[in-house]
Amino acid sequence: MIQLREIKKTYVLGKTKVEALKGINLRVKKGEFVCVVGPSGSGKSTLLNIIGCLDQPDSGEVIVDNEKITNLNRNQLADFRANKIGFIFQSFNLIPVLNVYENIELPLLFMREQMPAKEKRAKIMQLIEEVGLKNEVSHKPDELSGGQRQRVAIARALVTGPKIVLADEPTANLDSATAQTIISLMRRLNEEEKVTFIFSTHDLSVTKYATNLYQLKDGRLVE
Amino acid sequence: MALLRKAIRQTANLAIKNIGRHPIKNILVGLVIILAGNIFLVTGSLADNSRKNWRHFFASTFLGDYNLTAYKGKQKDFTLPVLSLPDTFIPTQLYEELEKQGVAYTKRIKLGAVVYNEENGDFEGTPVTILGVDLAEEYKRLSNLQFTAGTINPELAEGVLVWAELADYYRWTVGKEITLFLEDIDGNTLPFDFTITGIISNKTGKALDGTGSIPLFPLVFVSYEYLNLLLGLEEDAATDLAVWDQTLQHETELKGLAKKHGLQFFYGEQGFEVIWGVIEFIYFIGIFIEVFILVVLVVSTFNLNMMGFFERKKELGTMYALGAKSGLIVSLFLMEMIIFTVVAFGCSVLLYLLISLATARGLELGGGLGLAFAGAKVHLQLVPSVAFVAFLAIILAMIGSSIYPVYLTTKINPVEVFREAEI
Repeated sequence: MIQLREIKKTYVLGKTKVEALKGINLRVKKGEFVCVVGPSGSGKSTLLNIIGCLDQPDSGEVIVDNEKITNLNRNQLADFRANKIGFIFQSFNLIPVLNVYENIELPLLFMREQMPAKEKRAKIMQLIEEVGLKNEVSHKPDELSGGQRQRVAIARALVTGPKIVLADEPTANLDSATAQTIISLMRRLNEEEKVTFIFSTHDLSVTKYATNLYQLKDGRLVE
Repeated sequence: MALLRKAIRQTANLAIKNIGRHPIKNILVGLVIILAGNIFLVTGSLADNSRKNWRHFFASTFLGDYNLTAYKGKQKDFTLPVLSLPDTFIPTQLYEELEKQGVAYTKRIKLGAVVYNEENGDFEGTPVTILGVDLAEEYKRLSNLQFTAGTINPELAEGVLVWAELADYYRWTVGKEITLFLEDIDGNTLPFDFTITGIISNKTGKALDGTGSIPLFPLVFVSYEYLNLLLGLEEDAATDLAVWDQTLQHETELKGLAKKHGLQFFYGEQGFEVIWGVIEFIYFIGIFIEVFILVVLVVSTFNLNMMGFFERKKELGTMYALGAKSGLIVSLFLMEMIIFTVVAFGCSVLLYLLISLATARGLELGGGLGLAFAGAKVHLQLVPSVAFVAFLAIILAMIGSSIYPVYLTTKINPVEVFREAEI
């Protein structure tokens, strides 16, 4: 499903060069629930951004769903993300002017092929039910708690039926009880929807749900 | 197609929600659009009133609804009478063509004349325009013309009607014999005697009575046949044709005929350079104010767009991350702009219609302002062409002001945006 070969990435921050990834090799199979742990600044976000086609490595090869994404242009990458990848962000990144339903519906607008209205509505409502927000359908993000917002983000990530969901520190802005609930929800959806999940965290208490656990240390991945 | 419509609807839905983010600021920009729209509509209507009122004034006072002249260039101007006949006259073929089309017209001879003062044996004042017309026929058509003294005397071939303002200037009265120097067909300038049988003025447009030393309308009307005879012209020769057609049906055809026969087509107000200048001045003032308000609109919208861009940078980054392409983000911004402009311009038109309804009886303007509108009432009306130009100008200004912010949105890199947000 995902194959990373000798991925290297260096950032220039002002006058300093930061070697975020120093030759990452990774294989993720379909349906796995992968967790990447590591302290802040260890390169977790960079790794997820590269897998998610948001960033390009300086060298190395990235193959996602049998497609070598390092060869794709900006528009092709956008298409790839819209159709095959779902994102869950640390700070939720919901659109404040849209309600729960509309936020979940948003990625469908970016897909190459539009879903028929009935099917779309059924899919959104099913996800809303699965993430337990049936009573908050018309609520705007500022009317929701942190946990509820992240549930919306999870539903939004799954609405397009992606092959992979990438979650960059999805529990960082949540209290520990909510964090456990969110990760267990992700795990349940991973099992039910057979979607590959890769999430990063520095909270070791949520790593127990992972089928595969990797540690990112000094730009290198350790299983 | 249905799916595309749906996508447009969804983008529009998102655009509408985005407009609602800054109600106060958007209301302020909306007010600028409403103001800009009204300035366009009001100044456009004022210019239209000025043009229409003057056209009607001239058509009903001493010119036709449309005019064709054999004189070239600025020589159509009545305020600067031309002292020589034109090289060619209206071709007789044109009369036939007009008759075939059922267009009513009258033949005229227009020529500049110099007034001779017998008392001091000298020429005086500026030249006047002598207009050879079928007096009885034209008096029926010139509904805004009235006699302040005397009348038409068909028995007296050399009888003339003089404009009241001109009579005041030269202290002419009914029955007085006057001598005018005219250049005949052979180029000889000869004195001709005429007898004043009537003094005429306009019924409406009293505000136009000149108080200066030069009469605004220096006109002398004389019998067409008699003037032809005096100047040695052929029986049906004419320098000008006044066309009477209030239905405006034949305007394009007449322009075509004028071009075909090498004649000049002109509207009444174009026959008086000074009046044309007044109308152009209204247009100029209107355009000046409109440009100013458009600049205000561009600056305020640009600021609002830049603010929107920086505030929504993270959201736009999220959209890119979720798979949005630049085209969609650009269309989202443009759609916001178009929806906002259409709604604000709609409000602008509505307000203008309310103002025009409140002033439906017409605005009476005196003094210099009266002169701008031929002394008639001003009716604020919605001129479709002006409304179209106003909408086009406003929407272009709005789009123009959003080019740079929209360009910035296409350069958003989600990774950088998220990193900035973390900092």
